[in-house]
Amino acid sequence: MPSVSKPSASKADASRARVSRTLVAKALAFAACATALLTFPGWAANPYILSAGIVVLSYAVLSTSWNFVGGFTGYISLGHAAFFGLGAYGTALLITRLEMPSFVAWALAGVGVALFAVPVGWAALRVRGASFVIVSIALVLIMLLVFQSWSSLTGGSNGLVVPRPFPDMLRPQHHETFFYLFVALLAVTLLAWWLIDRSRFGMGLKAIREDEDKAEALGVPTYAYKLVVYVVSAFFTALGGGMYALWFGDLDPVFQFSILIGSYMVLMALLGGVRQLYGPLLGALIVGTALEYFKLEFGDTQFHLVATGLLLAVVVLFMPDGIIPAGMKLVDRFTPERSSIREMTAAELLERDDDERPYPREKATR
Amino acid sequence: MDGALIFQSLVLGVLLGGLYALLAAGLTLYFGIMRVVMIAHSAFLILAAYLAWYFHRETGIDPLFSLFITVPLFFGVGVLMQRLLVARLRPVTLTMMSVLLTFAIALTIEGLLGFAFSGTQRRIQLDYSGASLELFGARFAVVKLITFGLAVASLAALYVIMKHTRFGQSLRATIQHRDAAQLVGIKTDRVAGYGFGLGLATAAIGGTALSLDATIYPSLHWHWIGPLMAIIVVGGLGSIPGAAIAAMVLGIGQSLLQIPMGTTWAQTIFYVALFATLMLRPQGFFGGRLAQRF
Amino acid sequence: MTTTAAPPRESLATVSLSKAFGGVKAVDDATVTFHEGKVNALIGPNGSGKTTFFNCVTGMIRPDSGAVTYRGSDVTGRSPHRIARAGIGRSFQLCRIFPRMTVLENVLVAHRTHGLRSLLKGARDTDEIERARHWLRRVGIDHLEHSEAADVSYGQQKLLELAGVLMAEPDLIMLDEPAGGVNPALIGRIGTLIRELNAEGRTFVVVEHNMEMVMSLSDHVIVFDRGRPIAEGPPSQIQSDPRVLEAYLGV
Repeated sequence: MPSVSKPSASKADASRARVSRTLVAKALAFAACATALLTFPGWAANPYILSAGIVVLSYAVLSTSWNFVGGFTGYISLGHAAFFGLGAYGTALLITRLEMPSFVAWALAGVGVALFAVPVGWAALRVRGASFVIVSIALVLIMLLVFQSWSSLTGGSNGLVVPRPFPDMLRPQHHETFFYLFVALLAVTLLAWWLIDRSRFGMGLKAIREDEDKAEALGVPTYAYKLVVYVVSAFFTALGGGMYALWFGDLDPVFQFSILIGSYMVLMALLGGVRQLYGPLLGALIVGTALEYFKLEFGDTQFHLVATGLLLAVVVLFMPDGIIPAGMKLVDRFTPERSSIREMTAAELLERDDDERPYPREKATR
Repeated sequence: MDGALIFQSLVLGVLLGGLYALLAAGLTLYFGIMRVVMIAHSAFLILAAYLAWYFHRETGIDPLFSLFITVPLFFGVGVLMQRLLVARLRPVTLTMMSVLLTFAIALTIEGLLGFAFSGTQRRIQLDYSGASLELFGARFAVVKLITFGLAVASLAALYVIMKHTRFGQSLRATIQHRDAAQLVGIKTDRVAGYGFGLGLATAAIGGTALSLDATIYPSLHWHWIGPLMAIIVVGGLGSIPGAAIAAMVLGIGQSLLQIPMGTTWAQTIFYVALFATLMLRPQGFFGGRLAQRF
Repeated sequence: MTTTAAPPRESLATVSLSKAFGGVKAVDDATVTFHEGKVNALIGPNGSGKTTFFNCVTGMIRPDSGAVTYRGSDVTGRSPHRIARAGIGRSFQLCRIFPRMTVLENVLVAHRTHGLRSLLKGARDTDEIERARHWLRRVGIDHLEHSEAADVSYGQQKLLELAGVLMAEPDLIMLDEPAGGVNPALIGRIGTLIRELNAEGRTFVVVEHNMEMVMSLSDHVIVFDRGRPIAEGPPSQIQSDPRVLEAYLGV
C-alpha cells in the first residue's frame, strides 16, 4: 500500500512505518515461499510426488498465462486449452518432423502459436463478451477435431511420442530438471504479468475490464490493447504446453485439447483472484494439489468433473473476486491497525460529504 | 445414383436442421432474455436423452412418452436455475459470469451422468429403429422423420406461444426492452424465469428426439454445443428466426459436405461459418439487433 | 467573444446525421454546427435524441447516414478512441468511472502516450502523475487520490469523470448532464469550472436539463426535438421562442 500523505506529521510517520513493515513482511513471505518451492525436489518423498509437483507447477504457468486476458480485461476464455495443445503439438512436430533441437522447437512453437492467435483474436474480439466466449470454446473443439482426424500428421488418437530433450538422464533426475525449468517459466510469466500490471498498457487493460466504452472514450485503443494481450497470453500458454510436451513425452489430442484443461485454468485463476499477481498460482496450488490427490486416491473417475463443476459454481456465485481479496478482507477486520485506517476514511467520508444520490450502479467492490 | 445420394443428403440435412433449429431456439431465448450464453444447454440435451433411455429400459414403454415427465421437469429446473442462480450474478459482469456458471453446470451434469450410467455408450433399440421409408430412390430412417416432426411441432408451438399468448407478449417485451417492460407492469423477473424454463424445455424435447436415433455417452454434449453456438452467432445473437435459418442452412451444408469430406471434417463447416461471420458481419447474418454490443 | 469582426471558427458540425433504432428515429436528419470557444447547450425534452446524437458524434454508435466533421475534417464512423485522440472528450449521462481503480488511476487512464515503449513504462511515471494530480486539484478532489473510485460519493465521481476527460487534453468537451443528480452547491462548482475552462479556450457542448444552469452558462443554445434541432440562438432568444415551449409542453 502506498503511503498516504496526511496533514498530520505523526500520522504520516505512522503510515510510513506501516508501509516499511508490510514491505519487510512481504519480502520475508516471498523468501519463505521461494525457498520452499526451490527445495521441493529435495524433500519430495518420491518421484511420484515430484511429478505431481511438476503438474501443479504447469497448471500455475497455464493459469497465470490465462490471467493475462482474464485478469486484465475481464474477458473469460474457456478455450485456452487450444493454445496449450498447439504449443505441445507444435513443439513435438518441430522436433520429430524438422529435427530441430528440443528447446529451439519449444520457443518457435510459442512464437508460432502467438502468430496463430492474431487472426483468432481479431475475429473473437471484434464483438464484445458473448462472441468471445463462443469463439474460445469453438477453438478447442475445432482443434480437437483437426488433431484427432489428421492422424497422418498428429498420430491421431494413437498419440504422438515426443523425443526427450535429455536422453541420458534417469527418471528422477529428469523430473528434477523439469521441475526447475517449470519454476523458471513460471517466474518469467509472473514477471511479465507484473510488468504489464504496473505499466500504462496494463492500466488501459484494467480500464477495459471496468468499463470498456468509457475507456475508449478516454482515448484507449481498446481493440488493439485486447488483441495484444490476447496474443501475449496465447504465447505463454503455448510455452507451458510445449514444456509439458517435453517433460511428459507423450501427447494425445483428447487430453491436450480437453475443455477440462481450459476450465482448470479459469477455475484456478478465479479461485485465487484474477486481479492478483499470485492469484492463479495460489489457485493452482489448491486445485492442482486436490486434483492430483484425488487421482491418486480414487483413480480416474467422473468425480473430478463434478468437483470441478461444483467448485467453479461456488466461486462464481459466492466469491467472484477470489480468495486473496476475501482473505485480505478478513485480515483487515482482525487487524486493529488496519481498521483504524478504515475509520479514518469513514470519517473523511462524513466530513467531506455533501451528498445526494446513492451510487447508481451496483457496487463492484467488495 | 449420384443424384439420389445428393437428394438423400439434402433431405437428411433438412431433418437435422430441424433439430438444430429447435435447440438453437432455446439458446436464443436465454440470450435474449438474460444475455446469458447457456453452455449447459447441450448437457441438458444429453441428460434428457439419458432419461429417455432409462425410462425405456425400466418400463419398456416407448421413450417418446418420457416427454410427459422431462418437459415439465426441465421447465421447472429452468425456472429455478434462473431465479436461484443466474439472477444472483452481478449485472455488470453477467455475460462472462453466466458463461462460467452454466459451464460449471455442464461439467457437473456430465460428471453425474458418468457416475450414474458409466461412460458406456448407450442406444435405444425399438421395433421401428431399423425401419425406413423409400422416396425417389433414397432411404430415410423413420426415427429421423419422427425427430424432425417433433422438432417442427415444438417450434410451431413455440411460435404460437411467443406470438399469440399474453405470456409470449410479455416475454418479447422483456427481451426487447426490459426496463420499458417493467414500466408497463410486466413482472420481468418472473417472465425471465419462465422464459428460461421454456428454453430448457426445448432441450428436453430435443434430447428425447435424439435418443431415438443416436448413440449417447456423457461427454457427447461437447459435440453439440460447438455447432449450436456457431448457429446462434451466424443467425445473429438473439434472433429466433435468424437462428432457425442458420440452423437449416448449416444443417444442410453439413449433410452435403459429408459426401466428399466424411462426417468428421464436415463438422468444420460450423466453425468456418462462425469465424467468417465474426470477420465479415459480426452482428450475424439474419436479424441480430442485440449482438452489436454484447 | 471580445471582437465581433472575426467570423467564429467551426468546431464540431454534423450534416444530415440520422440514426434509427428499429422503427424509431432517434436522430433524424440533424444538421448542427458548434463554434470554437463557445459554451453550447443542447436542450430538449426527454427522448429527443440528445444522447444518441452524442453517441453518434463520439463514435460510440455508427450513424445510419450523414456526416460528422471536426475542425473541417471528416470523423464520421471513426472509432471512439480515435475521436478522443482527435481532441473531443466526453462524459456519460449516468456518470461512468472505473469503480475498482483508485481515483488517481482513473485519471491516469487518459494519458496521452503513444508507442510500445512509453506504454510499457510504469503507469505512475512522474510527468503524467503530476498532470493527473493537477486535474484532480483543479476539480477539487485531489485529497482522495488513493481511494477506490467506487468508494467516493456520487458528486465526487462526477468531478472525477470530468478530471479524466480533462486529462486527455481535449479542445472540445461534451458533457452529458453534468448537473444531473448533483446538489446545488456542486452544480455551482461545476458551472464555475466550465466557465474557467472555457475562458482558457476550450469549447463545450453541454446536454442539460437544469435550465437555470443552461441560461446562465451558455453562449448558444440548440433545442432538440424528435431527433433534430428545431431552434437555436442565444439563451435570451431561446427563452422566448414559442417553438421551444411547444416542444417541451408537447402540444
